[in-house]
Amino acid sequence: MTSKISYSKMVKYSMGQRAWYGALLALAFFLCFPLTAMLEFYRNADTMAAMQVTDVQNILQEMRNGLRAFLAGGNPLTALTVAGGALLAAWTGLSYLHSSRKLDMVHSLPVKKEKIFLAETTASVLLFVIPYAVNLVLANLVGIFQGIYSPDLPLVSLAAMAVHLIVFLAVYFFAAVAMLLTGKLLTGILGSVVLLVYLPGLVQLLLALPGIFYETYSGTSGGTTAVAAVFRYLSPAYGLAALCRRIGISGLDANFWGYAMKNQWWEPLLCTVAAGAAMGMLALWLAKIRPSEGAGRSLVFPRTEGIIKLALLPVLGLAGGLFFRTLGDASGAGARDGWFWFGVVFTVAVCSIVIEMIYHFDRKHLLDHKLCTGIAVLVTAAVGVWFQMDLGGYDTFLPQESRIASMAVCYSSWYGLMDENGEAENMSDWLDENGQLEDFSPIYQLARQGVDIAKNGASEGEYDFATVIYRLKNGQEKRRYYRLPVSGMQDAEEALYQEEAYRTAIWPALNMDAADIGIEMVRDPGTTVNLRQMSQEERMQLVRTYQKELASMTYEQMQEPPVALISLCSLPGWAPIGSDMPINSNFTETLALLKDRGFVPDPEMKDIRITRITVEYYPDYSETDAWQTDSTATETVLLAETPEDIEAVRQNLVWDQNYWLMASRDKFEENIFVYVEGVNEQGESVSASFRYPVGKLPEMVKEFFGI
Amino acid sequence: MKLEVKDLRKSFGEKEVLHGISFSIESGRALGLLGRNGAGKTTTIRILMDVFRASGGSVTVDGKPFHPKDFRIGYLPEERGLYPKKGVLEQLVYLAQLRGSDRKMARQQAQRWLKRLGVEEYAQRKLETLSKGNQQKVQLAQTLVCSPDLVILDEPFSGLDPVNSQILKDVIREQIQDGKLVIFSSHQMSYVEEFCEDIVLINHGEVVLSGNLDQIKREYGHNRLVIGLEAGMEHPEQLLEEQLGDLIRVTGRRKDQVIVEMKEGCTRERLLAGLLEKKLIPEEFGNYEPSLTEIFVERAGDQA
Repeated sequence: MTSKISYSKMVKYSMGQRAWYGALLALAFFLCFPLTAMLEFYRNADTMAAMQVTDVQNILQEMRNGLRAFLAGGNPLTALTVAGGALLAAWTGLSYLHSSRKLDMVHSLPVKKEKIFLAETTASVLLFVIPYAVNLVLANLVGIFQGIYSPDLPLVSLAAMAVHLIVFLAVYFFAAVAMLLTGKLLTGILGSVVLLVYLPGLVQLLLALPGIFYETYSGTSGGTTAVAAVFRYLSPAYGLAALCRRIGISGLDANFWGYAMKNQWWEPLLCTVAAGAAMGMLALWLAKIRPSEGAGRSLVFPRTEGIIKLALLPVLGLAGGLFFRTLGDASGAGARDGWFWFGVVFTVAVCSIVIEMIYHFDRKHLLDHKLCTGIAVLVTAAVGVWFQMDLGGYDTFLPQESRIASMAVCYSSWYGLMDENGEAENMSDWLDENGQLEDFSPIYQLARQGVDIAKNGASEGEYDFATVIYRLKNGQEKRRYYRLPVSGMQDAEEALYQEEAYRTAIWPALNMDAADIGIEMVRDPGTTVNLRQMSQEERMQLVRTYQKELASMTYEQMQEPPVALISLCSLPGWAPIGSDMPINSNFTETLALLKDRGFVPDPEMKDIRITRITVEYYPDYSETDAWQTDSTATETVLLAETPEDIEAVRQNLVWDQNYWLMASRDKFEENIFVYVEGVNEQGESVSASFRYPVGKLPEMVKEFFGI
Repeated sequence: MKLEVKDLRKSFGEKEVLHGISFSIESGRALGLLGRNGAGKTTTIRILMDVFRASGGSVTVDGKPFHPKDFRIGYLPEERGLYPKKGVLEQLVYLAQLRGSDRKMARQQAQRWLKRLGVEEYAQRKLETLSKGNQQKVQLAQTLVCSPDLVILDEPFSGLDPVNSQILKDVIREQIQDGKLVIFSSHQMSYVEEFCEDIVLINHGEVVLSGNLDQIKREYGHNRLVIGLEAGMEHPEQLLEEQLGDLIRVTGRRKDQVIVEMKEGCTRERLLAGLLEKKLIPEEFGNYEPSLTEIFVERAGDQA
C-alpha cells in the first residue's frame, strides 16, 4: 500500500500538533515588532517633549528611521527569537526520532523517512513565517496610525523577513543534523549547540592562542583573514550576529538596498546560505539512512563517538588552559604557564569523562575510546607546546632586508590620530596602506630592537609599543607588535618624519581633498568656536591653508605645544577624521583666517577667570612603562582656589596636546597632572588639562608634595 | 499468501541478537510468536515491519521479497504510540490515510471499528482522556482500520479486562476466518493456544521450537503418561521412582498427577501391571498432553 495522504495534509497535521509553538512565536514576534514599535514611538515622543524639540519634521523623520531599523530586524530580541525559534522547531519537530514509544508507530508507516522529515521541516517553517508576517503587518499598521509610515517600509520588512528566514533555516538544519545524529533529546540539544558554535569557537581559539603566547602578536591584518571569516560564517550563529549587526542598525539610508550593498551584509548572508544548504542536504541524507533503532541511544552512529571526542577534546582542553591561565594572571598567582597546563590536563580529563557519560550514562564506559582520547591529548599537547615554546618562531621573526619590499610602523600613541575611538587596527591599516616606506631602515632598526627585547627581555629604561608591518617581496604581509625603548622610538620618529610620505600618512586629513573635509570646530583651553556653518568657499580656503601649513611643519616645530586644536570631519557624513589636530604658533595663515572668524587662541587661559586649579601627583605612576603600572598607585591632590594660590600654581603650565608624539614624552613632569577650571567671557564654565615641563615645577607645588 | 522468514539475523553494533530466525505462515492461519523477555520477538516483528533493517537473511511473500509498503498491514506494536493529545477519530483517519486508505473509506472504517470495539462514544475525545483499556481498543481499531491482509499483534491483550479481552478474541478470530495472515506475539499462553495453529518459540535469538501446535503437543506427549495416585499422598513422584524406577522416569508433577516417561522396553500394559503389583492403585492413568506453558518453560526456562 502507498500512502494516499497528501504532503500538505501531513504538514497541516504536524502544524496542528505543534500549535503551541506557533502561539509562542506569535507572542515573541508581537513583542519584537508591534509592541516594541509602539513603546519606542512613545518613548521618542516623551524624549522629544522633555527636550522641548520643536522641529516636528525632524522628529518624524527620526521616528521613521527608528521604525525602519526595527522592521529591518536590527532588534536583538528578533535575532534571539529567530535563532531560538529555529532550535525549538528542530527539537520539537524531530523529537519523534528520539522517542522509543513512537518508534514502531512512526517508522512502520509506509511513508519515506525523508518525506516525514520534510513535512516536519515545512511545518516548522510555516509556524515561523505566519506569526512573523502577521506581526510585521501589525507593526506597519502602528506606523500608519502613528503617522510615521513611509512607502519603503513594506520592502524593508519583506527583505528582513527573507533574511531572517534564511538564518532560521540555517540554524534549523544545524540542529536537525544534531537530532538525526543522536537518539536522546538531551544529546540532541547539546549536539545542536556544539554544531552551531564549534567552528566560531575554534576560530576564536586559534585567534586567541597567538595573542596569549606571542609577545609580538598584533592581530590579523584588517581584523580577520578571509579564511577565519569563512569559518566564522559557516556557522549561522556568527552569521546571524553579523547580519543583525549590519542590517537595521540606526542610520539606515532611505535606500535600503544601497545601504545593504555598501555595508556588505551579503557576505555573511551568502555564507549562511551556503552553510544552511550544506546542512540541509546532510540532514536529508541522514534522515534517509538513519537506523530507527538509534532512538534511546546517545549517538545513533557509534563510529561518530570517537570522531566527536577527537574533535572536541583539543578545543576544550586548550580553551580550558587559556581560562586557567587567565585566572592565574588575574589573581596575580604567577606561573602562568603552569596554570595553562594544569587547565589543559584538568579540562581534557573532565571533558573526556563527561563526554563518555553523555554517550553511555554508564560508569563502566568512562574510559572508552582510548585511542581517540590519546590522539586528542597528543594534539592538544602539540598545539600547546607549539604556542608556548614559539616553535614557529613568531616572536623572533625578522626577515632579511633583501626579502622586504617595504615597511610601515604605527606607534601605540598614534592610534587616536585615526578616529575618536582610537581603534588600533584602523590606524595600523591606514599606515599599512599609506605609510609604506621602501627606504625602511629606521623601521627595520626598530624591529631589530623589538625582536631582541622579545627574545632576551627588556633591561632598565622606558618602553612603549609599536606595530611594525612588513610587506615582503613574495607578496606576503606580516605584522608584529613590539615592545620598544622610548629612546629608539624617538630616534625613529624623527627619521620617519623627514619622509614626506610618512609625514603625510600620519595625518589622514592631508590625504583628502579639501572639498571632502568639513571643519567642526576650533578650540583652545577656554574657548570653542563652531565652524560647521562656514560657507563652502571659506571652509575650503581654511582647510587648504591648514593642510599646507601642517604639511610643512618641521619635526622641531611639531614638538612645540599647539596654541589651538581643530576638529576636522569627512563629508558628507561629518564623521571625525581623527582626534583634534594641532594648530601651532607658526600656522600664521591659518590663524589669520581664524581671527577673521572671531577666534584668537589663548593657550594659557589668560582671558579666563580661573576659579580653581587641581594638581594631582602620582608618585608611583610610570607613564612610559604603563604596562607595569603599579595598581596601588596613590595620589596626592593640591587644590588652589584662592587668587594667590592660583597665581602661584599656574606658573609654567603648558597645554600639552601632543600626547601622541614620542619626542614630547620626556619633556614634562611625568607624575603630575593639572586641571584648570574657570569661567570665560560669556560666563560659561570651562576646564582644561595642563602639564609642567621638566624642572619647571612652581615652588608651591614642590613644597606641597615634598618633591 | 505465504510469508517466509529465512535465516534472519540482526546485530546492534557488535552484538548479534538474532542468530538466524526462520519460520513461515500462510493466510487464514495464525502464528504464535513466543519467547521470554528479550528473546527477540519484537525485534523480529520490527524487521518484518521495516522498522529495523536486518543484518542478514530474507523475508519473502510467495517467493518474492517482502516490502511492507506493498501490502496492507495492520500493526499493533507493543509500544502503542498514538498521539495522546489528538482526537481519537481524527488520528485514526489520519493514520489510515497514511497507510493507504482514502479519506472517505478511512472515516467509514474508523467509525465502524470504534463501534465494533465499543468505544464509539469517545470518537471526539482526546486519547489521553480514555482509560488504558479503551486506549488499547482504539489502538486495535487503528490496526484494523485499513482492512489489512497481514495483521501483526504484539501483546494485544495487555491492559484489557476479561470482557474486553473477549471482544478482542472475537475480532482476532474473525480476522483469521476472513483469511488474513495473523502473527500474534504474547506471553499469555492460553490466548495463543486458543488462536494459533502454528507457533515459533524464540530463545536468545534462536528458534528453539516451531511448527504446528497440536503436533508439537503430541510429540511432547509421546512416550509420556500421567499417573494420578491416591489423593493427598505425599511425594507420589518419589514413591513411583522408587517402586518402578526400572520402568519409568519421573519428569514432572502437575498437582496430584505425576508425569512419567516410559523407559525403553516399557509398555503401558507392563507399567499398569507394575503399578498393580506394587499395590499402587492409579486413580488416573492416561496420555500426557502438555500445555503450551509447560512446553515454553521446558524449552526456554532452563537458561535463566
